[in-house]
Amino acid sequence: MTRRWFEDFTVGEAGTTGDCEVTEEGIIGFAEQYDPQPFHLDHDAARESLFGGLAASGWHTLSLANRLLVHGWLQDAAVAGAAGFDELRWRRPVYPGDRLSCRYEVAAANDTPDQRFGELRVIVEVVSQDDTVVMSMEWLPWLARRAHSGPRGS
Amino acid sequence: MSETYWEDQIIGSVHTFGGVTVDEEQMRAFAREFDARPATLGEPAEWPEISTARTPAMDEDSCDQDLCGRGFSPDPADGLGPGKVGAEAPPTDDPCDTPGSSHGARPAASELHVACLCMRMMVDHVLRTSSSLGSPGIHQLRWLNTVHAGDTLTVRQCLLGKQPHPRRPDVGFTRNRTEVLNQDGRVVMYMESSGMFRRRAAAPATGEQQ
Repeated sequence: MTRRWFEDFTVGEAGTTGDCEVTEEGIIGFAEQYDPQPFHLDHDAARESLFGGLAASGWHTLSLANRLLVHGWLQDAAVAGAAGFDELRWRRPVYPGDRLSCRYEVAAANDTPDQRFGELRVIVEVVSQDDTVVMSMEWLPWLARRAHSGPRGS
Repeated sequence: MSETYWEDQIIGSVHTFGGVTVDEEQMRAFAREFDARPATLGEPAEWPEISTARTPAMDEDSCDQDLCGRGFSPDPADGLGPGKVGAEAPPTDDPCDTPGSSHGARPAASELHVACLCMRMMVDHVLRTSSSLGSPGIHQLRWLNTVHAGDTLTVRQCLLGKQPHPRRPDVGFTRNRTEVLNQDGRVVMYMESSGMFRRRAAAPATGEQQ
């Protein structure tokens, strides 16, 4: 496997990740742990809500997007963590049975205060099986630089 | 229990709540499912982890629980940068700085797990007794310090503003600044986000609303 370092990413790199299915069990399991609001737990309560039916927590959608990006697109990359994100929008509800994938494009590759790392600004769109954008954000992962691979950055 | 509606929320009010201790098993399960990397799995890595760019330990001169205090330095390029606390410290000879050397003993939480724990505290202490309808999004979120198993997290939230929904008289928007602090009073995460709440009484459907 060839490790990808910060230097190996260029602005304009773009693609689509694989997809994953959102299940009712997954929605409820995630909500019970992290977002136990009625519309993420209970069909009847969800029908009365703005979602009109049981819908995934936005944090679940974000976490699934993170899985698709980190375990997929960046699986060979020296991901060191993330600084955060900007302008995250939950655009459409995500329902059981939806299949999500991520479209990504590297918009910027920036220095960080710590020279061992670089920060990507990645435009991410999470799309469902019918190509509807359900979530979007500008994601800020940090990657280690090649020069600092190995013990003590030697 | 009475329900808090959009009208009941007071701009400028600050609430502090939570006190969740980060559970290692839950933390690792989250990492395996959503954010599997050497640092979050507690495995050795051939590269340094972001936690080594963050403040290594609390000292008495650290920031005073306020993002406006020392230690917070916005990225000059866009004013929205990561503003790493203590990020300018050069690499040290601290053994914890060696990739993989200490992760097995004390894995770092996935940053996203910290955000999800923040959400859980918001639900338990604020949203569960409110007329919450969900959220349209987050303007900005930053992770400033690394969280480990055993850390205790609290949330401090300030209501920055409110707006009626432009078309639905029964719905209003809020804008919040939310900070997650650890047991040392250090801010580990902050975000500025929007919320949607049911209004107590439907306002007139036409005409400008205040």
